[in-house]
Amino acid sequence: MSNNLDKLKAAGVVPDNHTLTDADTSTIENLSDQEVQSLITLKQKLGDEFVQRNSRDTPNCFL
Amino acid sequence: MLRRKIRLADGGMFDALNRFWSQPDLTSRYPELLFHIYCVVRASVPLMETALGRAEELAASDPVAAGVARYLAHHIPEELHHDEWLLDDIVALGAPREAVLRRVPSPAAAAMAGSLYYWVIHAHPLAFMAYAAVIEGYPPSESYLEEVRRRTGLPAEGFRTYVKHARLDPHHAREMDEAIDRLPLTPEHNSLMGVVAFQTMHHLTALFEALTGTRV
Repeated sequence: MSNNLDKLKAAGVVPDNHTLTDADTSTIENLSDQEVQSLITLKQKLGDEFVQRNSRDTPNCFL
Repeated sequence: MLRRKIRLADGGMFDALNRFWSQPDLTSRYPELLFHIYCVVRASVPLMETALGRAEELAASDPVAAGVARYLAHHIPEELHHDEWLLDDIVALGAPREAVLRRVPSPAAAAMAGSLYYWVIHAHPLAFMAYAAVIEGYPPSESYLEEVRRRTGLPAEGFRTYVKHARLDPHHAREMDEAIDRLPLTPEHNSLMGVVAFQTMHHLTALFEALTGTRV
């Protein structure tokens, strides 16, 4: 039976070669089925941009 | 828990935000951004009032709804007139007030606010907290806003609302997180909040990508 991370990788939401922290892996595995499906349906990327965000200093803001 | 989920999935949104704020023609794009944000913010108090009304309907038998009602009743007064501030900033950048008011609102803003009405009315008013946790969770810094102002050459009057939020939103974000932590949330509540937060980030990403001329 595949876990949440496997499902997200199969859907391209998390790249296969992306290394997640233990905290992120735990958060992913505690997502509900609906949250996983939401990420897949919205094609929300948890991969490259996620890594870049962690290494960037540029502030970001909406309002 | 909600904040961990938001941080997990915010990379795409941050990528879109960075591309917007880094673009070379930001001077011409910034006033357009303010219009789109105005379209979102003009719905904030009506959304909060709708969520409060729904929460009050449920409160007698729903402790989570009761907690949401307490939070909203306290915070609605703080959100009053933010749309007028933004309108003043847009006018300060050269747009006639009547033209802004006559303009057809942003479809991206309508999608974001409109979907939240659905969640608040047809799922649970708690959904508003997830939406607010995203849109108020990344406040700007005054130093960054000053850098943008210098880079664009736009008048300081066009940044007044952003500067106010730079001062207010860190406090709001903490209060929001503390209020959510106090709620007796079930797994279903947490799931709803995650879905709403992911969708809100998706809408924000789309809004900023449209303003940068890019769509994934």
